[in-house]
Amino acid sequence: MPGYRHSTDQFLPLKPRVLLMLLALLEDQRHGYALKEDIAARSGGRVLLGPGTLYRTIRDLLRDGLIEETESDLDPADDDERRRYYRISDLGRSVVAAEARRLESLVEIVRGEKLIP
Amino acid sequence: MHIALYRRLLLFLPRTLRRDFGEPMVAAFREDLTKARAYRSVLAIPRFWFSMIGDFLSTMLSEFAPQERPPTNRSEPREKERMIVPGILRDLRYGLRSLARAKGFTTLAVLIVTLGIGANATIFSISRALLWQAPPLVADPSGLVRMTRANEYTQSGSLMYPDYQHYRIANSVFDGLMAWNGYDRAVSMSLRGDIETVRLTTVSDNYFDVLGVPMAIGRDFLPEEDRVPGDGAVAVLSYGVWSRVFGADSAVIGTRIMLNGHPFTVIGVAPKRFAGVSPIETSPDIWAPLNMTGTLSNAGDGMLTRVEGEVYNWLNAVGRLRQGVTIEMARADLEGLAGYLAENFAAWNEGQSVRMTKHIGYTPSDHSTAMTIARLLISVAALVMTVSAVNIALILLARGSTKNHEISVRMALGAGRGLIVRQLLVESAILGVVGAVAGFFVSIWTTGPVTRLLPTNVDLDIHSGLPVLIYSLILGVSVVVLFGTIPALRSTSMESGARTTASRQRSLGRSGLVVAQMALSLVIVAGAILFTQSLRNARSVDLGFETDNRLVVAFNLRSHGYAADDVPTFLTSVLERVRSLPGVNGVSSTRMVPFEGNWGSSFTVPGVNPPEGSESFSAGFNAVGPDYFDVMRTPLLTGRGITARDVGNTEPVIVVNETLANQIWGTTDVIGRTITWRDRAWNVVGLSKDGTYYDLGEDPQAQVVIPVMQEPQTGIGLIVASEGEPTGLSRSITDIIHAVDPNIAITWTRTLTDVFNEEIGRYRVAATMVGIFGAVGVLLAAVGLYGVLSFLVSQRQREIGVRMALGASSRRVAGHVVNSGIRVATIGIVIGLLAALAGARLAASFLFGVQARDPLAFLAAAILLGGVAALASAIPARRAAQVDPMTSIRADT
Repeated sequence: MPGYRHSTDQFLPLKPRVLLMLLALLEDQRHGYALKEDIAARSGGRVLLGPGTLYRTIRDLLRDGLIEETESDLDPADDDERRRYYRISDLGRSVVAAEARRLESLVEIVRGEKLIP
Repeated sequence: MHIALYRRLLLFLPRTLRRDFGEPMVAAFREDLTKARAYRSVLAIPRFWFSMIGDFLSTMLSEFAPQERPPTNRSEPREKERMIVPGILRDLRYGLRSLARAKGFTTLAVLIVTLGIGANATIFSISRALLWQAPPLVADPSGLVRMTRANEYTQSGSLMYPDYQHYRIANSVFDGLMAWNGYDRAVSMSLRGDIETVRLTTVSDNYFDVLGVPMAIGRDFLPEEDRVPGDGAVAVLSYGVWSRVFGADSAVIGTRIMLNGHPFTVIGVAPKRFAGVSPIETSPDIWAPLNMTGTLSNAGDGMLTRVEGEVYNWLNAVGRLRQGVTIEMARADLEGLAGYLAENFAAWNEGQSVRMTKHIGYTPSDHSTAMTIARLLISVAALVMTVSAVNIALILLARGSTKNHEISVRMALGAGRGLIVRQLLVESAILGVVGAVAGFFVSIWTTGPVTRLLPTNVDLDIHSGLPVLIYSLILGVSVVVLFGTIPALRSTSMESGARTTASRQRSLGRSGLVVAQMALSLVIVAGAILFTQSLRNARSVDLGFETDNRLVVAFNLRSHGYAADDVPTFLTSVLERVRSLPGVNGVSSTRMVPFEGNWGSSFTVPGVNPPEGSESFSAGFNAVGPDYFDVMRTPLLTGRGITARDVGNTEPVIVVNETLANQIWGTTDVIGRTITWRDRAWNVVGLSKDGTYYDLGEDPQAQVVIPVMQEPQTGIGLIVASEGEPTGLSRSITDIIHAVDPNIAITWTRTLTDVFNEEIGRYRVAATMVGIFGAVGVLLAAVGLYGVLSFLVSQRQREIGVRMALGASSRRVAGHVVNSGIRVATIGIVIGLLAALAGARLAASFLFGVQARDPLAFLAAAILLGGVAALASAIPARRAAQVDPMTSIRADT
C-alpha cells in the first residue's frame, strides 16, 4: 500500500547513534553535550560523536519530530543559559518501540536457528 | 588558537546548521578539548584534532550529500528527481556519501593532500611573486618585453647608451622602448637645508609612458628633457618620498631640490605602490632623465657616448610591443639591428645579439638571487608533492581493497565496469578538491612566515589570490585522480579466480610505493642535514675579521665634488669626531667593505720576475684609514698596521697578506721589502693573516693594503667598532658627517652582522626551507608506512589468529610485522641513498664546507628514517600482538 505505511516505519531501521540518543532521552531530558556523554557510556565507548555529528543528528531528529526542544526546569542560576535541553516526543517513543519490535523479530529468527539461547 | 581554528572550519558548513547549532558545537568542541588536554600525552592533541577533522569532514560531506533516508512524505517526488539527475551528479552524491561513511580514510586522505598542496601553494605564491608577477601598477604587462644583450658570455647583458638609442629609433616593432640605469645610486637630496639620502635611478623620457603608469600629480618627462647631456634637470618623486619628506603637499610641483648639489625641478609624483620595474632588485625614491646620469655622479658624460677603450653597459630596456607584433617578430627585427651594430661598431659590439623575455620584473639571469632561490624551492616542493602523491596512491589502494567486496556485489548486480570506475574517480576528485582548498587556506597562513625566511634584500608583495587557488585545485585534483586511477582500475579488473594473484600484485604494488616514499624522503632528509651542516659551517667560519658590533657607513665623496686631495682633511676630522662618541671603541675607514672584494691592480717587484707571460704582478688592493687592522681585529703576524703617521708626506707603506707574501717572495719574512705601484716604491711594514674578501670559502686571495691618506679615494666607508649593538650609532655618525659637509649622501649604513647574514642568506634559506619540507616528507613517509602495515594487519587478522592459535607468541607476531616494515623501509632507504648521491651535484651551490656526498649526512638521514620506520611499524605490530585468536577466527567465518 504505497504512501499508506505506518508513519513510524519510514524511520526504520534506526542508526545506532539515533537509537542510543533516543534511549538516553527516554530516561530524562538532556542537553547536547550530556547526550554525547550518555551515548558514549551506553555504547561502552564505541559510539563517540564529534560536535558536528552530534548536532547534525539532533537537528535531523528535531526536524523529523522525534525529539523536541524544552525549557530547562533546572534552576537557571546554576545552569549555563546557552544550553538547550531536548526531550523525546510521542512520535519518538513510538519509533523506539517500533525499532525494538523490529529488533525483537530479528532476535526471534536468530533464536529459531539456535545460534543464541 | 584551537577554538579560533575550529570556528574557521565551521564557516564551511551550511549556514542554517551554523546558525542553529554553531555555538553549541563550539561549546562541545571546547569541552572535548579540555578533556583531551587532561590526558597529558603528546599525542592527545593531535589525536583530538584528527577526530575533530574527521567529524567535520563527515558532517560537511553528508550535509552536502542528500539524506540517505527520504524525508517524511517526500518519497514520491524523489523517485522522479532521481530519473532526471544526470549520472555524474548521482556519482557525486554517492561519492560524498561513501566518503562520509569512511571517516578515518577520508580524514587521512584529506590531511595528506592538504599537506602536499599547502607546501606547494606556498612555494607557488612565492615563486610567482619572484618570477612571474608583473611589477605593481604597470598597465597591460602582457604587452611588455624585457630586452637584454646576448653574446658568447651572457644572455642577460645590459646595454650601452648609444646602442639603446639605435634600437629605440630604428626598430619597427615597439610602440616604445624605454631604458633605465641598472645601477641606481644613493644621492643626497637637500631641501631648505635638510639633507636626506635617497635612491635615484635615471630613466629614459618615455619610461613611465611605456609602462603605462600615470602620475599621481604633475607630469612625467618630456622628450626634450632627455636630449642634451646635462640639460634636463627635472625629477619625478616616488609617492613615499613625497609623503615622507614633502608631507604629500601638491605644491611640491615646481619646487627646486638639490640632488648631489645640483638643482633639479620636481615635475611629478609617481603613484602610490609604484616601485619601478624590478622591485625585487631596487626600488627608487626619485627618477631623473638618463642624460643627467653623468651630472649626478660628477663623472662626465662618457657613459652617454662611445669612448674608445671604455665599454659602459649600464641600461636595462623594456619595450611595449606594437599591436599584432609577437615576441618572435620583435626578436627578429632587433636581431637585424644588433647585426648592424656588430658590423659597424665591432670594437664594442662583437658577436652582439639580443634576447627577449616576457617577464620584465627581474633580470633574467640564471644567477640572480630570485632565480636561485626559486629553483631550490620549486625542486623541494616538487619532491614533497611526489611524496604525498605516493601516499595518496597507497591509501587509495588500501581503500580499493576494502571496497572490493562492495564492488563485486555491485558488479554482480549488473553495474558496468565503466560506471564503477567513474564513481571511484569521482570520489578521488572530491578528495582532491577538499584537500586542495584546505591546502590553499594553509598556504595563506604560511606564505607570510616563509617569505620572511628569504634573504633580506628580497622584498616581496605577495598575494595568494585566485591563481594560487586555481593552481592548488588543478594540482590537487590531478594528483589524486591520477593516483586514484590505479587503484580504481585494479579493483574492477579483479575476477574471482584471479583473487590471489591480484592480491599478491597489490601487496607488491603497495610495497613498491612505500619503497618509493622512503627513498624520496631520504633524499629530502639528507638534503636538510647537508644544508643545516653547511649553514653551521658558514656561521662558524674564520673570516679573518670580526663581524659582531661593527657598523659600516658608506658614502661617495666624488658625487659631491670632492677631489682625491680633499679626502684626507675631510676624513681626519670625521674620524676624530666619531672616535670621541660614547660607545665607540674604535673607528677607521676602508675603501672596500668585506664581501665587496678588493680592487684589482698590477704592480712590479724589484728583483722578482713576474709570472711567465705577463709584465707585472696583480693582486687585490684596499685603501684603509689608521687603526684598520685593530678595528677589524684582523691579526697581524709580523710588523705593524696602518697608523695615523702614514700620511701624504711620509714614506709610502703597505701591509700585505700571507698569500701575497708567499706568492711573490715565497716567504713570510717580508718586512722591509718593496713593491713598485703607480710609479712609487711602497715599503712592506706589516704582514696580515688572510681574510675573506669576496665570498665565503673563496680560494686564498693576495691582498695589498695601502694607507688611504697616502693614496686618497673618494668612495669610502667608515667602519666603527662599538661597545654593544651598533645600529644606534648610525644617527650620530650621520650627523657628524653632515656637520662636516651637509651635502654628503650616505650610500648605506649596515652592521657587518647584516652584511654577513646576507652573505650566508642562501645557506640559511636552503637549511630552513629544506628542513621544514624534510619534516613534512618524513611525516608523510611515516603515515604511509603506518597505513600500509595497519592495513596489512587488519587484512591478515585471521591468519594472525590462526598462527597464535597454533602457538605463535604475541612477541613473535609483532616481530613479524615490524620486520616486514623494516624490510620495505630498508630497500627504500638504500634506493634513496643512491638517488641522493646522484642528485647531490644539484645542491652544491647551497653547500659550504661540506661535501655534497658527505657520508655522515647520508648515514644520519638513513638512521633517522630507519628509526621513523621502526616507530611507524610498532603501532600496527602492537595491534597484531593483541589479536585474540578466537575472535578473529570466528569473525571471518
